[in-house]
Amino acid sequence: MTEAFVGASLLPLAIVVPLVWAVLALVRPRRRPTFLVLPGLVSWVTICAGLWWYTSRLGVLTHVLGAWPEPLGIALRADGLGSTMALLTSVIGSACALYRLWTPIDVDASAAQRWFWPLFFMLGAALNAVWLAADLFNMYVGLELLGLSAVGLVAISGRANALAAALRYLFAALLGSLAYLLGVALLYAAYGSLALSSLAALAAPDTITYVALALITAGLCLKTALFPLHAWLPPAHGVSLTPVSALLSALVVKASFVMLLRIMVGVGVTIITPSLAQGLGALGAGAIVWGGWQALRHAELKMLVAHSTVAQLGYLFVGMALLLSGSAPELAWDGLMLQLVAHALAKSAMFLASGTLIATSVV
Amino acid sequence: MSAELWYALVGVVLVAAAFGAFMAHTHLLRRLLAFNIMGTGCFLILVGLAQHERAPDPIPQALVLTGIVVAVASTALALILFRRWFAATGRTTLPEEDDG
Repeated sequence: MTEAFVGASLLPLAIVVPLVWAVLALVRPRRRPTFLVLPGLVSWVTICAGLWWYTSRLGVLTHVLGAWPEPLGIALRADGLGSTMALLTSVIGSACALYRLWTPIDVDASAAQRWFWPLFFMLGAALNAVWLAADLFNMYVGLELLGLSAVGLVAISGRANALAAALRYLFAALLGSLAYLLGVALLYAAYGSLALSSLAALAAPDTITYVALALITAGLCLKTALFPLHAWLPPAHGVSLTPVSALLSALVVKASFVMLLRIMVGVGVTIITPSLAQGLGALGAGAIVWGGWQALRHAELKMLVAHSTVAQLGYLFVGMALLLSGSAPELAWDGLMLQLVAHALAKSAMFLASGTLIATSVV
Repeated sequence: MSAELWYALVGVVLVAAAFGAFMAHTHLLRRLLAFNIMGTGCFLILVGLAQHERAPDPIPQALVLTGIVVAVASTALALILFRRWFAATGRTTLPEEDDG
């Protein structure tokens, strides 16, 4: 009882604590931010590790904010996927933050110094909000917060090519989340609920559900940069600051993918026919080929790595197709989780390493 | 036809028209306006369709309020980015994409 209470009370903390550090970094900007950032990172990692530990011991944790009942209240839910992604986020986020603290930055703009840390912690809070959301609308809010802070981080250097990439990213993000919101509106109109758990029991294969799922899938695929909707990703990931590229490639694109995965598994699994699932898988296969080919053709190191992200995201969709086709769902789920975690670790390490390589080879 | 369904239909028309405008125009401000109209249409659908043949429902209204806040925040961010882009390059459109 008490252990479950402690575990569940970590859920809101995982979102609130990064937000608090974002506000602190905003109102008390430091010329030397180390002493502000390090405690933030330590508290963030500690909470996420605690959440992961409690989830692995006790199973799924839920917390209803302010004890307001659903659907008006906001419920948070940590399952294996959510708490693993939260822990992964805090670890990779900390690595990127340490990189940012201890390597000289390649732009001297004071704006980059001033706004990086608020946006960084905001990004962390938004990611945790997406991982731990229990209903479709909180996912939407988390996704929007994520999109806004990610666009801010891309634009932070203030160079013209970064601004163009940020604008293109912003338009893709806005269009994607509007399509998602439209789908959510249709689902609510059809079933009168937004909680994933109750939608899973209610969903029936009728026209409005198909239209809603199609809109949600299209919007989230645009935000995950699934081929052929990926054109915004390479410039956004290629021109931003090195730690930002690492965060975006390793974690931010995964947020909309995990949302799609939750919706497909929760609501769509009885509705999506194997051929529709295979269609998504075919797009994923196209992404693997096209992203790999584009990566081969690019000479600039960070653009090459960014195109490899497009290819690696394709593997996630192939895995999701296998999961939904239903011949070996457990194996497919294991493979998906492995790819999520492995790509996040490998791609963040790769971006950080290539940033160091570029910085040392120029001097 | 109930008034709520009428709202939802108007919302569908707004979303479709604004999506066409979003795709057709390259001027950044026009695209942002199209996005705002699309958002309004989306909110009309959300409120209208959900309350169709039901009692007034606080949840879609709460959702639309949240959605409006999000739309205002994104519009503000987009406007700031436009101004910086215009100041840096003097252009009102994005350069053509060279990478498919």
